[in-house]
Amino acid sequence: MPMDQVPRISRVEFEILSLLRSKEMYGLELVKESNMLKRGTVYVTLERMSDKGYVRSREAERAPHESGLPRRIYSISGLGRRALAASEAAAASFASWGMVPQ
Amino acid sequence: MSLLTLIARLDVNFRNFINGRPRDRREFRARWGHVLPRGNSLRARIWRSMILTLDEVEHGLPQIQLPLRMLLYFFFWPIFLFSAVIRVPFGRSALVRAPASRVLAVLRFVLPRKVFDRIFAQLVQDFRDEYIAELSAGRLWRARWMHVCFYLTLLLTILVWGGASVAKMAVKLWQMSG
Repeated sequence: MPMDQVPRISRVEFEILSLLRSKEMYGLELVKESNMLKRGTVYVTLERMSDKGYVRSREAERAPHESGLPRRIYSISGLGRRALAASEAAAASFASWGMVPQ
Repeated sequence: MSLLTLIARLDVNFRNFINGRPRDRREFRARWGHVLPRGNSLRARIWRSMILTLDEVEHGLPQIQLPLRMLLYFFFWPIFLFSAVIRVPFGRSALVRAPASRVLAVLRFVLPRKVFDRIFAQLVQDFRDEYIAELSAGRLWRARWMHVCFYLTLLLTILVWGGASVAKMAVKLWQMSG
């Protein structure tokens, strides 16, 4: 793949994609699972990632007796998996040279 | 808080009016019945009819078509504003609103639907879940602290979302010009 087509992701995006790799989650679950993610920024970041195509979202099903605002569940997309894999490969090659990516 | 209350009340008035909600005088009578002038004197009857007419208008006129209701709202809005202002200091109810319901009404009114549903509604729902969990555990002060934190988080989210939107627009303009 040419270098200009390799999707580049930030550290926060990397963290979100890593968490979503194993299972789908909603925003608060992501914040609780990670030390890096903050409540004030996670939904804006998820929305931006959704626009880029890294994550998908759907409205959570609710039982008839449940009330409140509808939750959105996020899952990783195919492009997100590729971006994550490319980022991990880059990190591994940096590590093999004895460099730690910032 | 009073400004938010006022905006939320006007928003509810507007929605009731435009949707032509059926009239319900019970709430009004429960709240104001004791101060309505009694007796059959002309003055008392005029006062009662004026106040109840305002209440009737505020709670919507379902028998009137939507375009006419919107036209009426245009002419009646100073009265609604006045009514909302005088109710703010006296508005007490046995029912308690869900936390952040007023700010939610304002956000729903101001923001695009997609942004509201995907960012701000999620934020409010997260806060409510945690707030109710704290209350259920009997940690009242922790719940109050979370309420304060929620407003700070909301402010941060608005700033981040606003900044991201401006940056996205700037990039688009730059790409179009380049």
